[in-house]
Amino acid sequence: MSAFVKGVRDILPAELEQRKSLYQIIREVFSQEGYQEVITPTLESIELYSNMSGLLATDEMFKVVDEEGQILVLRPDVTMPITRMVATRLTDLPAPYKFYYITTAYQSGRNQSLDLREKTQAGVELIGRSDFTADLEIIALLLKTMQAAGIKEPLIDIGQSALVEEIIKMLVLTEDKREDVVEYLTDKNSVALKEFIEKEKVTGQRKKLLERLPNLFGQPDEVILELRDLLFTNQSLQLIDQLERLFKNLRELGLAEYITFDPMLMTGQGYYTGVIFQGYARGSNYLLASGGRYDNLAEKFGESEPAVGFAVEIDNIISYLYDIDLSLIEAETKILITYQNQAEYIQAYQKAESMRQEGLVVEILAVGEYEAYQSYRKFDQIVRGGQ
Amino acid sequence: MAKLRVAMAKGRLAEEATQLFQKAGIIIPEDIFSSRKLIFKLPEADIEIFLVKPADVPIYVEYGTADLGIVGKDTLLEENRSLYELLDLKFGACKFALAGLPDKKKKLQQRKVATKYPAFTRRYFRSKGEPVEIIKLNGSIELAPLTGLADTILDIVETGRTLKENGLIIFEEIIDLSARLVANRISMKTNKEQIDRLLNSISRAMGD
Repeated sequence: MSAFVKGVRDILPAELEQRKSLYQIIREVFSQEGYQEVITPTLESIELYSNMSGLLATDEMFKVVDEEGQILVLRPDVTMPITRMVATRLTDLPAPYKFYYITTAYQSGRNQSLDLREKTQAGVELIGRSDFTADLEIIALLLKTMQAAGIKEPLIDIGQSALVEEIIKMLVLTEDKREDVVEYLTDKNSVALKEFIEKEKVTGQRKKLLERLPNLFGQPDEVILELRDLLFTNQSLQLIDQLERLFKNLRELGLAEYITFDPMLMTGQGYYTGVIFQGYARGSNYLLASGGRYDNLAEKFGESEPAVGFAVEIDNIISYLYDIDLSLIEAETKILITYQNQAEYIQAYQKAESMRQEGLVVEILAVGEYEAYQSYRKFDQIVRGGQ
Repeated sequence: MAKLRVAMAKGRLAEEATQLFQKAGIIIPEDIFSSRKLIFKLPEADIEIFLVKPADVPIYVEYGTADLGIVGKDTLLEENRSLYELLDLKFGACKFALAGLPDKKKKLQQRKVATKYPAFTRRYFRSKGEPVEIIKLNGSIELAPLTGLADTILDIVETGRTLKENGLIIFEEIIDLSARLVANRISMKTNKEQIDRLLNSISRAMGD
């Protein structure tokens, strides 16, 4: 018998302490902006997730069959269940709907977080606001969350799903080449794009755009300046105007140094319709957060609500904090009370209780007992109970 | 500033790659191929080189343990990892091809294909809609059709000499291959200036 299951793991006390501190920090940041915590079920109907092109494929989800033969999935994502919850249960409440969660999501396939199949995410969903300041607030909130979590030089890479669509429409001449071009652009595969240009005899503005796109990302103003020369449809130029305003506002909030722009940024989630973004730390290779606008998702549940949100990857943040050797744990005073005999034990117990009420961490052991444990726990103070 | 970590496929590709780096003005330690060390720090350029097995290069880069990798396109196609492919380095040029004994080119039965690249082979035949039996081998692929283990092989072909000497012919050329410079998707964003600088000096060295 093998007692180990691939892709899941135990979380031991030392790491859990760090996690609990991180959760506490995140809860404070989220609730200060008026978000309320919710918990959605671990099991969801597979119908919720099927017919959702671009989202995690159903074969990458964990499936369970219930006693009636219905197929259920372990939630692969939290945005979908929260949208379902709002659209089906809370519509009599006034918009906007502001919720946050700290919970686990499950994926059976190889995805962003590589081999971990159960991962913890903390995120917010702002449902019912279409205005552009909602995007701005969400990006600023993500930055604040990353900073509060101890990330030294956070970086938010911003893209736009609708712009990606528009650019692909401009580039693709025939439908059968679409998939290839999208793949090359997603992979920033300059080599394959060069071959494609030659083979398909792409010329003019399309050629210029295809050649430049794999290397066109980074400092927002510079990228936008160049894109204005390369793009040639009204729709795409309007989207550029909107992005320019977003970047200008982020600069006015003093956040410019944390922001980059990738016009070809694409994430796995197929439900995004507008601004999308990913969070990193400069000089480090963890995906720390991702999010974006998803205006069409609530429609699937019969309600039309615009929405924007993000999730931070707790497991990756913990790994990052471990790499930079940063502890979020607030030191607590640990006290050991020792006793010699039964009479002293009662006194020791009562003393421990009164100290615990003052908020101290107190343990009781007989003198000389479990000595290895005593030194392992590194007590700040050892008190004799009979005195 | 953090160091850029470059994973290189041990062997001929790493030799060609380090020559290219030298040409680009990056000083490479002399003992890189004689020493048994696995990590080489290049102090002047803020670069660290790992020498790993070819198939491990895409893994190091996808996980972000290496920011960049130098590896053959054959390995990239087999591993099929999520990476950015930045540059065709041109050296190590060869092809993926199907080959076998001349009289076995047309077959009525389902093909048996021997290869070192089972994942790519599966994808290739699936895209053509042809059902095949795939036999994974670890070397001397040419032996498979000669001994009757398989009727077709999918392998890299450079000059075609080995095939010829064993009486095999190419049935079909699939795709041109060569060494590629690949990058971790996140590193490309978080270390952009450093990667751009290295990329520019390598491109310039290749142009000379």
